[in-house]
Amino acid sequence: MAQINSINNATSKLTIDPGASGNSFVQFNVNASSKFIVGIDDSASDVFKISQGSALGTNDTFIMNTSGVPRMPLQAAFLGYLPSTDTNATGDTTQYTLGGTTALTKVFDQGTNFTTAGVFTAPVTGRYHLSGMIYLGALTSSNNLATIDIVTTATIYDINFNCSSVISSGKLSIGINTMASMTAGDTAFVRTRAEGTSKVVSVLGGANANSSFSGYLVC
Amino acid sequence: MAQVNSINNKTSQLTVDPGATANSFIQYNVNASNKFIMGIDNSASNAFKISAGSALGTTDTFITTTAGIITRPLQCAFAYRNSSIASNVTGDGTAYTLAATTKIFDQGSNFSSPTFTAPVTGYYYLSVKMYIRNEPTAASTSGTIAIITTARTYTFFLDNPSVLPNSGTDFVESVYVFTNMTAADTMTTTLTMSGGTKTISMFGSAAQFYTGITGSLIC
Repeated sequence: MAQINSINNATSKLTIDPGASGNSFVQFNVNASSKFIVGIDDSASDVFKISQGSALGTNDTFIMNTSGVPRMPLQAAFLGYLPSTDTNATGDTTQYTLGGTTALTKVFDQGTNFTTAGVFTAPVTGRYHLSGMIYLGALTSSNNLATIDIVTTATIYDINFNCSSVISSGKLSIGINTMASMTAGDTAFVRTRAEGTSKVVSVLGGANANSSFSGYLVC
Repeated sequence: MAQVNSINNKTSQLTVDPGATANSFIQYNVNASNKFIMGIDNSASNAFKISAGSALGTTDTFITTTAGIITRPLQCAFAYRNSSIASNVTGDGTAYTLAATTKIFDQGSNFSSPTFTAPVTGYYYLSVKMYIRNEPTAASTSGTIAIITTARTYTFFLDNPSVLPNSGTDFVESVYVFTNMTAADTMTTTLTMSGGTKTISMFGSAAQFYTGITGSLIC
């Protein structure tokens, strides 16, 4: 017969076992209100889960499979891209905000912290990895500066250089990524600007996500 | 009256409940020494925590909110920047090691300018951003940005840096890698500009992240 729930004081082993096929778990309550449940979800290939509430498989916050691969299905993580080109966006030093003209297409947004206007709001205080990519078009040799910024409430992260000698067919991709400290409620967005001409430079969009903003909560 | 700690062998449910509004937890000891504690921190909006020692809220290593967002407050993550300019550091082939002395955050205190030391064996994201000044004056003909780890050096080549500055004398480059590190392995970053004079400077600012190093342990 299978071992069922037991405490062995000699070995300090606390065993949780339903004694048959079924979930094996610890329920943490506060004054009879179910807060979190931790244990094995037998109906999901015996993965280990930490779930909010009273049921493994509902509101899973942490899942580790029997191969040791963890996932966090509710962790803040997002990716959005510009689905179509915004023409005449910059070139004359205008700061163009990704998502500020044409709404972004969301690929994913765990936790719903990201808007199609391109703004990510930190749900908790933590360390975030943020990445931006901009694909500029209609550049000429007169455009002596291209920039991409990730603008957070606390800090601006900036890449800039003279693009006049490195452009090909009037197009150029520029990217940036960083680790950023964000307080709950802080925001982040991506912007770009080109200089040296009138406002004729485009930000190219499309399904290949050449102009995009992504990020996730690291720790 | 609320249910208190119980083992229900019929349902295989092990329930932990203080029977009042308070923390709900399991304490893991070794020979009466408190090692880890796991459960609900009622004073922190009923977040689920795994904490070293004997108290939820002290030395928290893993936190998931009731919304399922997970933070690891002691996970290795850092960001340092230059808050002022370092003048005339390269241009003649000198390998300048980025100091990055101004801390933005440093979970685990693993960075001591100019070196990051891996606290454990794992896979790390490492990034450096450099705001390079005076290139036309120095007239360098080539350059490299390097992320130097104990195991290997990752090099980004600047084949013709004289074309990169913006309308002034500056340009910004960013290099990042995802790499394996063994515990106690180190990482530094360098800029080497060659073929000209030692008049290239590394720009820094107290207001903005122009130049700096970031990283984190991913897994």
